[in-house]
Amino acid sequence: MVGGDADGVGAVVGVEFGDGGGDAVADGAFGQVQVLRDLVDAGAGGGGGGGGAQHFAFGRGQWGWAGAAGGGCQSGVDDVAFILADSLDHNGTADPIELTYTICPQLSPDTIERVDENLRRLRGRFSVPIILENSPQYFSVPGSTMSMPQFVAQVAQSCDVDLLLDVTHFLITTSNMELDPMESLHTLPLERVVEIHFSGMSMQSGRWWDDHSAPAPDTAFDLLEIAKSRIRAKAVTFEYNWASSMPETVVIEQITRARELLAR
Amino acid sequence: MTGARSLSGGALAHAVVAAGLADPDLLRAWTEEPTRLAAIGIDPAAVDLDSLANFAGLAEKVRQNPCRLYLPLTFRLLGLTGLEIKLFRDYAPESQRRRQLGLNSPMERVDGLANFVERWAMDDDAVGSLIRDVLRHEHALALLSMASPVLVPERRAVRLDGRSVPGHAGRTLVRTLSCDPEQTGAVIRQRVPDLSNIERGRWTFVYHRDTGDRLQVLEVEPGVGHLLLAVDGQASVDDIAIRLFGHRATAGSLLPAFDQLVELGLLGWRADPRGASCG
Repeated sequence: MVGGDADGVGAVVGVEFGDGGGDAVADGAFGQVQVLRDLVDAGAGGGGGGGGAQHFAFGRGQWGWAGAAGGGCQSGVDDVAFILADSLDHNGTADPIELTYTICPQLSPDTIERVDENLRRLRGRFSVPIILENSPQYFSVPGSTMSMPQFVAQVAQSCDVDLLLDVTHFLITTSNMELDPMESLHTLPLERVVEIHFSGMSMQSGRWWDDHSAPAPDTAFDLLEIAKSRIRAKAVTFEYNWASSMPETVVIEQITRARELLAR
Repeated sequence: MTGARSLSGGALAHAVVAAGLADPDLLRAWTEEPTRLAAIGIDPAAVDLDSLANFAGLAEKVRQNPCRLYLPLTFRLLGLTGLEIKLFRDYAPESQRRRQLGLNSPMERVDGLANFVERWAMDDDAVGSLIRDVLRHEHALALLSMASPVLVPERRAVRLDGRSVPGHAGRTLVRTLSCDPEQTGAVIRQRVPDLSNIERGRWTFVYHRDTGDRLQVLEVEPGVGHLLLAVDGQASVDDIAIRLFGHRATAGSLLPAFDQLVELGLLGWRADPRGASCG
C-alpha cells in the first residue's frame, strides 16, 4: 500500500500493489501483515476448540493496513467472509478446509454470533481498532436469512464495530442479488464507515465479479458521492494488486477524483 | 463423509461451500447427482452449484495472478472477451492436480495454463483460438526468457562441403498463429479496444534466443518453420530433405535456405558427428 498525505481531506488515499497471487498475502505492508496472519492462524484455525463446529475465520490473505499520517487511522481490517470451514468428513479430528480466497458466509444470526466471538478474540490481541469490510456476494449461501446490507448492519450493531465500505463489493452484491442499491445503501450504518475501498468489477458468465486488475467504475464514485455525507472516511484504498501494472494516469486520475469528492 | 451430519446450520453450509470449492470433482458429482447433497442434510435446490463453480473459476483466476507478469496480453484479452471465469472454472480441476504435484512456480503455472488452453480452445472458435494464439506467443517469449543460457557446440558460419550438419545457434521455438501478436497487441492495449480490428489469418513466427541471450521474433514462411523444426544438430541436409520431402533429390535446393538461416544467426554448421558425408 502506498500511503498518500491527507491533504486536508481527512483521509489517506492508498493504492495496493503486489502479486496478489491468491496463495500470498495481497498487500504491501508485508511485515505487519505477516505478524497478523500468524496470530490469527493461531487463534482462528485451531481445530474447532470451544465447541467449534464452524470456523469463521478472518481470512489469511485479506488483511490490510491503512497507516494514516498523523495517526488518523490505524486498524486491522478484514472481510466479513470465511476462508476456513469444517471438512465434510468431520469426525472431530479432520482438518478444516482452507480456501485460498474469501467467500461470503451464510448471512444469519448464527454467523453474526461467530463474528462476535472472533472479533472479541482479535480485540484481545491487538491494541489497534479492528474494522470489518463487506465482502462481495456472488450467490446465496444455504440457510441465509437476511441480505448482505442487513447482515452488515446487524454485525455493526451487535459487535459494536466500525466498518470498511468496499464500494465495489457493495455494487457487486446489489447487482448479483438484485437488491435496490439506494435502499441497500440506506440500510448500511454508514456513520460507522471509516475506510473506503475501490477496485474494478467485471461481468462474466452472468455475474459481476471483483476485479483488482481493472480500474474502479464510475458508478463506484457515484455511490461514494451519495454516501459521503454520512461517512467519516479516514482512509481510501485502491485495490489494484492483481494486475502486474496499472496505468499511472488512471491511478492518479482516480486518486484525484476521490480526494476532490471527499473534500467537497 | 461419515460425520457430515454432525454439522448443522452455518457450519454445515460453510462446509459444503468450502468442500465444493476445494474439490472440483466433488462439485461435479453434486451437479450430476444432487441427491448426494440431500444425503448430507443440504437441500440441493438451496445450493447454486453453477454459481459455486463459477466462483471456483474466480478463485482459480486469482491463484494464477503470478502468470500475469508473463501473460499480460492474454489476461487483458480474457478480460475483454469476458471469458476469464469460464476458462479458469474449466481449468480448476487440472490446476488442482498440478498443485498437488508441486508444480507451483510462476513458470510452471504458465506452462500448465498454456497446455490446457491448447486443448480448451477449438480451431473453429474464433475467440478461443485468438486467446490460445496470444497465449502461445507470450508462452514462447516466457519460455525463452526464463530458459537457462544455452551452451552449444561451436558452430561455423561457413559450411564445410560434405562434412557439415546444420544445428540451432541458441534456442529456437516455432509457432503457427492465427493472428499477428504485434498487431493484436496494438489493438488490445487501446483504452477502448475494438476486437473486430484484430486481423486473422495464418502466420509462422520463429522465437530465437541466441547464445548472447538476445531474444528476437521473426515472421517466416511456413516452410522455413518446418525446416527449423527438422534441424536437430544430428541430421544432415540429405536426412532433412528425406524427412520433409521423402527423397534426397531436393537437398541441394535446401542449401540456400540453410545458408540464409545461418546468416540470420538462427543456425550454424558443425562437423557431422557421425562423420557421414552430406550436403
